[in-house]
Amino acid sequence: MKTYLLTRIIGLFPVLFISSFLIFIIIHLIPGDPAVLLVPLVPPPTKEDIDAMRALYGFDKPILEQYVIWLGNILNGDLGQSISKPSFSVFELISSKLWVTMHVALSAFFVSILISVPLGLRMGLNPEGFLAKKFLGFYTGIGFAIPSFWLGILLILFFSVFLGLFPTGGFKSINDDPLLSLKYLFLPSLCGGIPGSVIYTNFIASSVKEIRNKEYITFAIAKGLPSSIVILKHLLKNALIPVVTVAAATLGHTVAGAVITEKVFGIPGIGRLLVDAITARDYAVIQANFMVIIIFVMFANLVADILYGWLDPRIRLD
Amino acid sequence: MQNIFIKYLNYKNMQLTEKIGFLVLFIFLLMTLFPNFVATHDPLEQDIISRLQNPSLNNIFGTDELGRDIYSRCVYGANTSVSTAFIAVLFALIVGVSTGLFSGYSGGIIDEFLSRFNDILFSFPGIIIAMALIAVTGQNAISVALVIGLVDTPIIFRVTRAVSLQIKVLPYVDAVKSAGASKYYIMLKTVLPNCSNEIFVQALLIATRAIIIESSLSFLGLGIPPPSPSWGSMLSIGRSYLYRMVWYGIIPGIFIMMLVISLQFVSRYIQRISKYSNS
Amino acid sequence: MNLLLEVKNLKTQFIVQQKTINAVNDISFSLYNNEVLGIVGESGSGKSVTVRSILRIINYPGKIVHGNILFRGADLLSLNEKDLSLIRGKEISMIFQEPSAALNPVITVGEQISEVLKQHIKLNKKQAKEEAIKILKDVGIPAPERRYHDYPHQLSGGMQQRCVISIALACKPKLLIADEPTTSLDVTIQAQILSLIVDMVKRLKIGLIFITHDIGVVSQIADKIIVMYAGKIVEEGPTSQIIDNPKHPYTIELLDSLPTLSTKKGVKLKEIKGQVPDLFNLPSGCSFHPRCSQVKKICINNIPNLKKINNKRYASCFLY
Repeated sequence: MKTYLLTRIIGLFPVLFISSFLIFIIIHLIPGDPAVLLVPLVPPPTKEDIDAMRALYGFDKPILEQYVIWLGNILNGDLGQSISKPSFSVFELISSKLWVTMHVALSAFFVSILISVPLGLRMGLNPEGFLAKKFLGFYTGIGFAIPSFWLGILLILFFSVFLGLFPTGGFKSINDDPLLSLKYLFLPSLCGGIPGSVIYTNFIASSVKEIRNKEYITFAIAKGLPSSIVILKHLLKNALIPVVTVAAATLGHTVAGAVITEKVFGIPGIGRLLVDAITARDYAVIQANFMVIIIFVMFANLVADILYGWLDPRIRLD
Repeated sequence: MQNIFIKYLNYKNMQLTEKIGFLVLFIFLLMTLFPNFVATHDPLEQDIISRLQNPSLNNIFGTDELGRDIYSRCVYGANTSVSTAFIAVLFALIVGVSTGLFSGYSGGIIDEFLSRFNDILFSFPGIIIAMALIAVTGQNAISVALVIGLVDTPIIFRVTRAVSLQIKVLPYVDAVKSAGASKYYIMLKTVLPNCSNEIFVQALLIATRAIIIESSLSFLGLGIPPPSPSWGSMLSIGRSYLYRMVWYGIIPGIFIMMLVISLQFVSRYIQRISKYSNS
Repeated sequence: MNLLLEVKNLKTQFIVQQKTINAVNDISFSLYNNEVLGIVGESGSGKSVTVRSILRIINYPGKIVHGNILFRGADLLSLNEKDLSLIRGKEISMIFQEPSAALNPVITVGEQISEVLKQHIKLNKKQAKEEAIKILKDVGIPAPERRYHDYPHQLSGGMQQRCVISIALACKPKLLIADEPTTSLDVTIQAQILSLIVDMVKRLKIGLIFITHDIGVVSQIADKIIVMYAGKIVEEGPTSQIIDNPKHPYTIELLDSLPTLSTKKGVKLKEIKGQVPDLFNLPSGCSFHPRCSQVKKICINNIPNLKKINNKRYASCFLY
């Protein structure tokens, strides 16, 4: 297990470095001179003003040098200053929004699991039944055909406008008021969770279908264990191991879903921050944002790998 | 090549759903190529007095916040989505097939490297990558289409590479090689026909992804800029008027769904047919 | 002697690719308390399907379509799942062929024993663990307290099979079914496991059905033998009589192919000519006729029934 962990973690670093470098380069390919955007417009800026601004931010140095400086800053915890919102450091901006986005992403993930585990289990245990044969195809097709933002709008229409049960948008931190927070999160979690559940359902169904024909399941039945124990203890434990890997691998898509969900429900998270930054050409924010997303995705993959190794005793005790 | 076309379009072979799929797809094609025949109004014509009207005889799906006819804007919006998807798929096919062939055939380090890169590209959510690249290229029609194409390339790469790996070990290839044919000729002539079915099916599925990503981008405001009508941006605005006029937030979504579902049905048909015709 | 198990006209079918296979085609036999019954046959003969039908653990696409299985008077085929689970593991237990496949890889072996004790004898966690460790010791596993916490993959094949035996005998069943328990084990371990099973069965005074393709093994431990071929019983009788005086041509060939003390070194063992029949495409008439050295014209188109040759001896062959 130790070697397993070590190889995984070491493998992360080169990818992180390369991706951060790539992002840095790409962002700096954005046409337009940021120095021009930064100088105050009154009195009208002269060339010297612009040059001074450029020097101040270090835009005049060669790209590699800028990258190294940036990297150094990052490792010291300094993510830079936001260009469009100069009074905030990028770090402050991102950390405050990250907390919000976590609400959205995690609640959506939770809903996905809530839907897909029982559904997938049912389908895997009855692969010839209606659910598995007809409904799954329909469910998968629709899941990929409905844009998640439209699903969000429909949810708002039905639950907020028509039924008046839930707010149409907004956010409340779980620290401030747990019950109210959940009320605000209900629709967004469905909006992100339902599309996400499609992949999990498929995966769980096929995993369960495969496991239920294994000899140790037959043996468990031959021992006289009731089907509830056989399913929940013997079958699910085995069937969910590969699902964990898939879950982490698709965490990136959960993030993407969160970006859209935030726009639909007006939630002030990273997604909103990112979209605004792109429109305003705010380098530092864009860069840091993507880095956060990449780190998050990689971290999630690492956690998945670790979990997989830990859940399967054949790997854990090696 | 022509007989393949005719064989595929033999409508007697289709089930009901597949016929509907082709029909709807055809309608969308009409909307894309001849929008002025299908639409009832000029999509840009404003009429502030009759803004946010519910559907009526005059405006089948009502009017938007500037009094423009929603139905006509949706019809012209098809143009945006379909042409973007078309270019994206074309890009993905050209880049995906050529790199896939090259990677599979070359093997070794080149293959390793390209496959790794492809996997990383594939593992990231498409819309995130699209957003990153749009930030660089700016928001215009061509960039959006090409960016989406890039996001969808990994699937095609994978399919082509898999087939090319299988084919390259066949003795037939060696025979052609010793007859003096160039590497590229071999790859094109032997690999392509074997995966054309699969690629066609994947191309259709990529098209659905492209449509979803394009509308998501324009929903976020990062797609093709206004006043060009796009289903995504229409839904974005419709969202804020839900209490006044519900149809604005519903109708464009229905268009998206119908286009995607018709593509799914057609793709399913191709899958079914190719299973029978595969020798 | 009490009648423990009585199987009457059992028929189990599999429906694969729209074709019906009669894996078990009208089988009847009985077993008394303390008796050891050996079922011999090549793979595909239906021996495993027969015993799995008894415990009713036949998976789709298989189905028991006819017959009665009377266990101490009650017909197992008429019980519902809930009642069956009271019998499985408690009254009738089974040992599978591949212990590594039979044990759940993500649960400790100790827990897999404890759970039957908790389920059937209603022991609590602590009691079950103690009892399980005791059983592990009984089957000859050293350092049982430590082995309790091991996972299956950490044990050798022989140890795994001992664990499976522990699970099967934990609740002291009345009938033990062993489905080729030594086939996948090392040759050196086979004898150990075999004697362990026979020991435990004698000690607990229970009935044993032992399945194997090796008639040599079963001749040492069984009181009576059933020979199966292509889903049917071809010969039945007390062990000593069958070994000394086999009646059915198939049985004769099986015994002939065994090495004996007088077999010279380097001499090729005698094989049964021909191949195991394809259950999709059974030969007409007597299923064995294409491979039979004493085949007659009548065998090609007519199916022989199981006929009583003398007291306790049965064979299905037109020779009799």
